[in-house]
Amino acid sequence: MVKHTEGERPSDIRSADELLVARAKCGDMAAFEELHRQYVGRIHSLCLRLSGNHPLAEELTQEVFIQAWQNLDGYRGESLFTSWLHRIAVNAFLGMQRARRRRDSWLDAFGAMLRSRTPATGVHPGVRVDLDTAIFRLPEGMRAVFVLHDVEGYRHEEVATMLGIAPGTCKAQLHNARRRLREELDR
Amino acid sequence: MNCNEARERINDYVDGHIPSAERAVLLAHFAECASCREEEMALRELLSEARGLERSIMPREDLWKGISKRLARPEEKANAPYEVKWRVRTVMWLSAAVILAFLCAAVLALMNPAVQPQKGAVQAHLPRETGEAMVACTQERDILLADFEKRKGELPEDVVAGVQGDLLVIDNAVAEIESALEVDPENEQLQKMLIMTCEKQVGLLTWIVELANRA
Repeated sequence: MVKHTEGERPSDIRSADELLVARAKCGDMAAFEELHRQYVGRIHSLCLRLSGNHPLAEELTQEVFIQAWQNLDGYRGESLFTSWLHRIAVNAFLGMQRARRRRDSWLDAFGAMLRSRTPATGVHPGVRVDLDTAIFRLPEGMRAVFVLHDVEGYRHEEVATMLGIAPGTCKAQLHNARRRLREELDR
Repeated sequence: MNCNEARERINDYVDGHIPSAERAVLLAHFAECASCREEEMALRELLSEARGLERSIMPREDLWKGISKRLARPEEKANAPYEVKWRVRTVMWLSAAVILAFLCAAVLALMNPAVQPQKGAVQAHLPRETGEAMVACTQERDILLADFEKRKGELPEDVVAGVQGDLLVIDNAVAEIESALEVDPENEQLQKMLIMTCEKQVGLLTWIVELANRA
């Protein structure tokens, strides 16, 4: 098993990943499984924070790796493999969000009775409760911007592109998210 | 610069997105204003905590098993996670059942609000064709229900709970329609609704059993 260690340089990680990707592109499932083992935690934590929902985060994570396998030929090694997976995760999340929006607009006619059936968000044992719980409680748009910018470290322009929103909207969402998080954490 | 102006710019300042001249003015304000300094510190603390969050959280169970199973089926073209499909489908079943229940209750109330017929004897009053369709549908439902009961341990608890809740709602809708049919057994709309509702239940059970097969 290729294990990335603390002292390992990004270039070492990159070449190890490229080797695994090259093998996976040739249909080597063991190589792809190894990539999955390396990155499942990272992708799952992103999906968990974006979705705020454990079963959904796990399903999104599965979906990310399925799509990654199906689109491996599209990965040209121009970015880190993990960055490529992140993009897929954000897109999978946005697809889920769009589906949910369609459902919610349809459901509005039936009111809160049906919406109340949405599974409640719990707290994963591995998640730091205070800030993560507060993040889970943010509205989806604010949550996505905060997670991508302040947790994952993407720039405004990158976040705006990924989410398909204007940079100004991204900034406004981020500032609102921060304000709400501070209010929530100060309680 | 006053406090309102300072607080409008504080996010950009912390993110390093303000020009140096403006930065100097803001710093001068901080030097004089303890409240805005506190605001800046609180924001920096939040960002520091966000950056320190665990970046790798393992799923509660090994997902590879499910992934490899799906990858072994090249025809699999999943466009949406099953949780999403589950939500959409259950909500559709539920909504259909609620609409049907509402319509039937309304029909019943309009026809004879005083009548409260016994449940269960409805199939005896149905026209032969509808009765046979209901018997077939009920048999299929019972087989699937038994299968679901056997396999539910393989599914996530919240999915099982959701499906059980939906089955109950559909059961109630069926009971409402049956009540209305006892009053008006020849009503074709009600007969169609009854069969349709039963078929919805079969559809939901078929889907959940398929899901268990995939898990």
